Amino acid sequence: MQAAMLLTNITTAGTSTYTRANDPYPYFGAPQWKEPAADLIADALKAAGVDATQVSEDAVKAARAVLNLLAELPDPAVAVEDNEITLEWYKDQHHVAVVAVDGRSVTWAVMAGPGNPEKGKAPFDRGLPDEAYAAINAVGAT
Amino acid sequence: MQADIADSERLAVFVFHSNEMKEDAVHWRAFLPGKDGERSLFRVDGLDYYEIAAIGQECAAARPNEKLQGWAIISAADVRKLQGLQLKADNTPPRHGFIDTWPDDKNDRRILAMSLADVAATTRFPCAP
Repeated sequence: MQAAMLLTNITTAGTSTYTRANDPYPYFGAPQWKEPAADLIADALKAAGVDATQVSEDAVKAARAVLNLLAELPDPAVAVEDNEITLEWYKDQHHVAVVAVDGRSVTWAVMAGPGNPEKGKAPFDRGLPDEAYAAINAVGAT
Repeated sequence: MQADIADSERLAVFVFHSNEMKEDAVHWRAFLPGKDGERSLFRVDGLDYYEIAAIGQECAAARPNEKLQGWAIISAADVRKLQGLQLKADNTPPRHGFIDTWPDDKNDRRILAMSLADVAATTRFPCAP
């Protein structure tokens, strides 16, 4: 009760300034170095082993470009399939998007909700077509 | 058992790779054709969980370092409504069949596999109590 009155007195007494003391926790409880950013594409190429030899340098560049274009989405699962690098965003069986690049073209296969498949193919010159971006973004961002 | 697979028949696609069994369902890659161009399946009309599991475990026994993770059930009609796909029964081993006439284009195969996964019902093995 006394404590409650004291609190009331303080809050009705006017504006006060609170300066938070330095929190020592970060210096003891958290590492003081940064983990290097994961290179999903390099990791996938490494995991593919000899199969990665079928992947062209242009395909690697295109995969990195797609990753950058969709950087706001969560990290995709990256895999090597023959001469393609695939990037997959999986939410559930009804919401999944796969982008595949081979250095010349980009293809996308998207299940954008139950019974709603979308697919397409385009030359990969400057980026993703708007329809691909919209479909992938809709799945990846959910 | 009829030589032809009826539209109403339930078909089981077994999963032996843990990365093809997601939290919610069988991953669409489990429906892709193998190197032989076919997606193997079993006709399981009238079979219960234990009988289907027994078939799956028999298949797993022939695969070193792999074990049965579960299966996806689709209907024959689900397969036939997708453009180009056909079902065939060879009954070797008993109840065995396969999906063939997959398109050459990889992206077309992906969207068909996603479409099958979209309508599949998943059973895990062993089943959670």
